[in-house]
This record gives sequence, C-alpha cells and structure tokens, in this order.
Amino acid sequence: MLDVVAQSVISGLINGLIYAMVALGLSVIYGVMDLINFAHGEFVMLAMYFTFWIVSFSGLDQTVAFLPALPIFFLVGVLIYYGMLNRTMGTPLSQIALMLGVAMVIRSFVQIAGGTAPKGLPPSFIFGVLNIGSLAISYSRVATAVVSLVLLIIVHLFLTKTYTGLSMLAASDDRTAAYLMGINVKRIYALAFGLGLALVTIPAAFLMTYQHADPSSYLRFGLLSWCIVALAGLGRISGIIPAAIIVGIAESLVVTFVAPEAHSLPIYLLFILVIWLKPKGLFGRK
Amino acid sequence: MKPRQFVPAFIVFVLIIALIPVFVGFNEYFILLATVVLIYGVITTAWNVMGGIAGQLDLGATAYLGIGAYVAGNMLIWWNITPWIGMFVGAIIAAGFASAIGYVMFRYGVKEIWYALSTLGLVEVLRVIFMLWKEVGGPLEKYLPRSKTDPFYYMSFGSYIPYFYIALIFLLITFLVNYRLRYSKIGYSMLALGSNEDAAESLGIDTRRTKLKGLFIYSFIVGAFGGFYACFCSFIHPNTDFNMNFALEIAVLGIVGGLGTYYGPLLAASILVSLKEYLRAVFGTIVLGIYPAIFGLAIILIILFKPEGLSSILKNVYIKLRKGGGTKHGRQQHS
Amino acid sequence: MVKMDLLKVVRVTSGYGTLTVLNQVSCEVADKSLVAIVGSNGAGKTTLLNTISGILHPYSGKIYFKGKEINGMPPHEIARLGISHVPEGRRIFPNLSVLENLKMGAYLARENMKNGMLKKVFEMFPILKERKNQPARTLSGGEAQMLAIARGLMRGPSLLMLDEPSLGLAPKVVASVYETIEAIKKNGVSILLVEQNVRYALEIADKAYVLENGKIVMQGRGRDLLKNKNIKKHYLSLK
Repeated sequence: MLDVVAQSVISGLINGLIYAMVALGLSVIYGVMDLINFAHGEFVMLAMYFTFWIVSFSGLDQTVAFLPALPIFFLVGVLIYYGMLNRTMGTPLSQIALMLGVAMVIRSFVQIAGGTAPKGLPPSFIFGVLNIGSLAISYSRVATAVVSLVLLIIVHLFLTKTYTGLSMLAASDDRTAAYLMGINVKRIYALAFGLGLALVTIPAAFLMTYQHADPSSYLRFGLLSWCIVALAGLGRISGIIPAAIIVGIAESLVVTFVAPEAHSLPIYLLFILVIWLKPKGLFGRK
Repeated sequence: MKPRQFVPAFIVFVLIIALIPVFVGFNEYFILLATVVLIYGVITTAWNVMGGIAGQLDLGATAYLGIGAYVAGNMLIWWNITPWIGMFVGAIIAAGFASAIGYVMFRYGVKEIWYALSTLGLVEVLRVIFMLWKEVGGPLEKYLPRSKTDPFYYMSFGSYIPYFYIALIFLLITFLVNYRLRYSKIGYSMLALGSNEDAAESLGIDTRRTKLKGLFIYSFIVGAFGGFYACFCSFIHPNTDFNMNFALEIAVLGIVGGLGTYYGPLLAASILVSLKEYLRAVFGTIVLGIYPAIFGLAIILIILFKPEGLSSILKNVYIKLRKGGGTKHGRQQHS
Repeated sequence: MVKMDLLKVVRVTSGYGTLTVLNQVSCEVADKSLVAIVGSNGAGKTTLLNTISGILHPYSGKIYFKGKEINGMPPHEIARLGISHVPEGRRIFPNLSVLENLKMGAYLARENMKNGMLKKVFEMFPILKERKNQPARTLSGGEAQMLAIARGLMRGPSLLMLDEPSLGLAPKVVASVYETIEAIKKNGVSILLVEQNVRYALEIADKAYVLENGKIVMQGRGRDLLKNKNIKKHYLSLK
C-alpha cells in the first residue's frame, strides 16, 4: 500500500514539475498585466501541433523543435497586444471576449489543418524508462521536468535581474508609477504578452516527446494552468512550483485511488476551493 | 425605447417571431434553426440579468442548464413525471444550488476574472461528476421516454413547431423579467453594482445580496429551461448538458450584444447563431471546423469596432427612424 | 528677466474626464529654484503635477519644459526629458526590494547604478542602504517617502516634482524630509513642491503659488507669503 502511495506521489511530482512549465506563460501574462489569457490552453495546443509539423517536415528532434516556433509565437503575442488588447485596456470583459474569439479561431485552425485524429511523434533522442522500485517513469518525462525547472529559473532570473524584467514587475505593482520612471508600459505589456505566448512553445515541444496532441488538448492544459496560477497567486515565479506540484500529486492520487476518468476532478475542485477561500493564492506576494 | 413605448414595440416583435414558421413555409429544417436561435436567445437573455445588468461575468450557464435537464429528465425516466412539472422542480434545484454556491463565493469576495473562472470550472466539475455518478448520469446517453398518444405530457413532438413555440414562450417570459428588472429598484442596484462595485457599496447597496438575487433569477430561468432542453435533445448526457463551450458562447453573445440592454443579447444570438448554423450547414461538410473560426472572428471584429455591442446598431437605426426623437438609454459598455 | 524658466505652465485647464479641476493655471519654475504650490485639499495641486508629468493631458493651455512644448506627450517621454515626479502617496513598488526600486528610478539612466549616483543617494539616505534588500512594502512611512524621493533622484533629473512629501508623517520625520529637500536643492536640482503643510513649504520656497478651487489666487516669495494676513488666517492659524 505504502509503495503504491509513494509511486503515485513520485509520478505526480514529476507531472507537477512539467505542469509548472505549462502554466509559466499564463503566469507571466497574469502577473504583469493582470489579465487572464483565456486562450492559453489553445496556444499550448497550437504549439504542440507546431512541434508535430516542424518535426514531421524537417526531421528535427522534438527537443529543439521549439526554436522556430518560439519567435513566431512571440510575434503573434506582440501583434495581439497592439492590435486588440491595447485597444480594450480597462475593459476586462471585452478582453476576455476577445481572447475567447482568438481561442475559437485557434481551435478551428487546428481542426482544419490537423484533422481530428490525435497526432503523435516517434520518440525523441531521449528514450527508455527509469525504474524506481516497481515504478517506471520514462526518461522523456524526467527530462521534461528538468527542462521545466531550468526554464523557470531562467525566467525568474530574467524578471528579477534585468531592467526589462524588473520593469515588468514594476508595471504590475503600479502602472502609473512605472510610467513616471520613464518605462513605456505599453511596450512592456506587449513584450510580456509576447513572452507569455513564446513560453508555451518549450513545454509544448517537450510534451510531444511522450504525448499526443489532439483538438481537445486545450481543455486539459487551459484549466490546469488556471488552477496553478490561482494556487500560486500573483507572485514571482517561485510560487508556481509548489502550486504545480500540489496539482500534479492531487491528480496522480485520484487517478490511482479513485478512477482515471476523474483525473481532472481534483484539479477543478482545488481550483474552485482556492479561489473561494484564498483568492490571492497560497504563495502570492500580495 | 422608453418604458411607455415598450408595449407596442414588444407586441410587434412577438408577432414577427411568432410568424416565423409561416414565413419559412413550415419548413422543418428552418424551424429547427429558428428554435436553436431561440434556445441561445433564452439562455443569453437570462444570462443578461447576471452578466449584463449586474455586471458579473458568469460563465456557468450550462451548470444550471444541466442540473435542470438532469432533474426533469430523470424525473421522467424514473417516475414518469411530466417535464412540465420536472422543469419547475429543476428550476428550484438549479437555483438552490446556484444560490448555495453563490453565497459562499460572494461571502469570500470572489469577483471579476475569478468569478468567471470558478463558474466555468463549476460546469466542468459537474460534467465529470455526472459522468462518474452512474445512478444519475453516466457516460451513456439516457434517452427520454416518448409517446405518440400523449406527446404533450412527454414533451416529445414529431415536429419542431411545438418546440419552437415553447422556446418562444420562455423567451417572452425571460424578456419580460429582464425588462421589469431593468426598471425596478433591484435593477438599479444591479446596474450600480455592474458599473462600479465599490461605488455601489458606498451608496449603501448590499452588493452580496444583489448579486445573489441576480444569480437566483438567472439560474432559475436557465434551470427551468434545462428541462425543455433535455426534451428538445430527447436525451441527457453530461457532455451535452454540462458543456463548457456552450456556456462560453452564451457569455460571448451577451457581451457582443451589448451589456445591460435587455434586447442586445437576443439580437446577438439571432445574428451570430444564424450565422453559425448557416456556416455549419454550408462548410460543415467541406471544411471541418471552419465555423468556429468565423464565429470567433466575428466576435473579435465586433468587440474591436463596435465595443458598445450590436444593440447600438439597432439603437442608431431606431434613432434615425425617429428623426432624433429617440433617447439614450441602456447602460453602455465603457470603452 | 533674462533667466530662462525651466518649466513654464501657460493657462492650463485640466481635469479628469468631464470633471474640470484646473482652470487657466499659469506658473513658472526658474532654473535651480524651489517653487512651492500650496492650497487646501482638493484645490487641484495633484492634478497640476499629474498634468505636467503627462498622466493627464490638458484640455487647453501649454506646458513648456526647457523651452520644449510637452503638453500631450506620454509620461514616459516627459520623464526622459528630465522631469522626475514623486507622486502623492509615494507609490513605491511594494513588491520590489529597495534596491530594485532605485534601479527602476534609474531606468532611463542605467549608468547611474554603477557610477557615484547610487553612492550619493545612499549617503543622503543611509537608512535605505541598510534596508536595500528588503521588500519596499516593509518600510515605515518616513522610509518609504525617502525611498520615493531617492528613486526620483536616481536618474539625475533637472526638475524634481514632489507631491505632499509630508503626508501622513510624524512631525519629527517631516523635519528630516524637509532637510533632505533643501539638500537636494543645494545640489542644483530644481524642485516643484506641492504641499498642504503650508508653513514648511513657504519657509524654504524661493517662490510660491496659492492654488484655490483650481485657480492661482496669490503668488510671491515664500517668506513674503508667510507674513501675508490672508495666508495666516486661512492656512496657518487654523493649524
């Protein structure tokens, strides 16, 4: 029994670390702009399809397939900011409706361009299985978890050590004061939105080392990320890790002990409970 | 429209809609389309109480719709009780459930984006629960019993025309509720709440109570309508009834229609749902999945270029027709 | 007088949306001088500073800084020209550390983090050096005001605008804030000071304006105004 629990927890821990990277882009956008990107799950899904296409056409390994996608996503983010969000600043309802529109376009695009069948890729150069007792975890997942940690550290350093990163945090603290410092807040917002989208390409590429993409992937990754961000609260990147690990372990335990179909239930319940009881998150700074 | 001008305009409007089956030559397909538009219209107009007038971005319409559908559906399946009663019971249970949830949420000050996300999460939680809860739901479609001898009792008709008129009656009731509310004392509290919660509080409005009232009215109507929806679909299934995308569409239609006007949501539903169904019919077989893209683009364009919503177009036309006699009314969405 | 005005506000009307707060206000700040604008709460003092720094755009009138017309420019561009606005209520970045706040102050002049500027600021505000790694939200009111001023100085502005620096501070702390302001002026930075605390402001001001209901009703040398009967009656004796 104890063995089963331990295995379930370890598996959940690995998943949690991976989820942290999936939620990272959403967290950056929310943290800087106080805006929930409703299309986050759709962008993760789109990036998974991008990975699939890039790998299929070029033969690149998944682990580097994000390189061409990353600048494209960044640019799309900047364009969405200047074309849409900037024009609707201060009207959160309109911004949500806009991002829902974007989400619908992406879902449609994925279906038209990729069909409804799931898309999977042959194993990347990372393959094989890590055995811990009777628990088997693929190296792909372990590698993805490690990449996640590295990426989180990089983004954390960017936000706290560079002028651009700090000015993002400053704009999030006090928009007007940031302007008075000479910070072009609109430009910072555009960069943050671009960064938030660019950051989905890396987890998407690594997810494709051991997962399929299909037209409903957005659902899972969207709510998953919202849940992690709600749990983490409006904070620095470090809050994401414990939040994501809680989500990963809760999910894993329910899959092991309740039913695999119920895997999303703990996530949503956790999400709703946190919003109700601790609307500022468990690890937030405000 | 001022309240005094409302009655004649309303009668004309009802007559036009009621005659749609005649206009389309009793073509079953077009009546089906019109019924789908009315279904969206009813739910979006009910949503308007909470989302438009009270300004709370609720994304949980189908949580209440699903509860209503399952209550009425199962009452018919288990005990052979007519959906006409089941609808009423479903409405009470849906509204009770919504109020209980709402009480906790408003008590803990959940608002804005977090209110939106938690109502959306609620839909998904209910879907999964009903999927796993085999006695009530389960992953198989549960078909409602039908009867050729007494279609009225089972609300199972061979033609779409009766469904159309039942939906129309729902729409009229919802519409009148909206209208009455809009010009009542509680309606003014809701409007104040919707435009600025802190300011409303400083005016002495009990925002928690006001939100709860809005949520109750909205979920009651949607819950009752769930019973009809189950009969219209002729089965109940978690994916059909607790559908997140459906809930999102409702909110988007409400926003696009123009918040706080009582006719905007209906207008948006008529235009966009017709467009959607048309696209589905035309492109559905050629290019799979193109209609959400066009639907999504339409939403983006409306928000960017008509931020006050579709209702403003209608209002401008109305003002032009009256040669400047029209008056400003309805809360404009701030841009 | 040939000496050029650093800042010149000419018949500016401004406000929030449809609410007009300032009515045809004109004032000047000469180079290397300390100008005070005093008046009661709601007279429009903060609105004036917000209009100069570009947070608000004037409905009419002109604002010149170093001879350049700046009305209508966005705040980050006005900041670039050398105006540093220390807003009412300090508005430090609560979740950034003290040092990070100063870094943001030097956003437009990043070399100032490395050359003597940071050292100079720390000499002026030793308490900030002690607390440089603390989150700014943990500072006391007086320390937060010091940080706000220090942050405003980090980019080496030619005009420092201070909005109610004494607000909510104990009298002893107010005195030390005012010592600092005089020290800054001695370093050659022009200062536009907005205050409700009339006595302090008039004592150190080279020139002062009295703002009432959005209009300038009186102007003159600070010490002259201090002796004025009306000022004494309305602003000083009531204190």
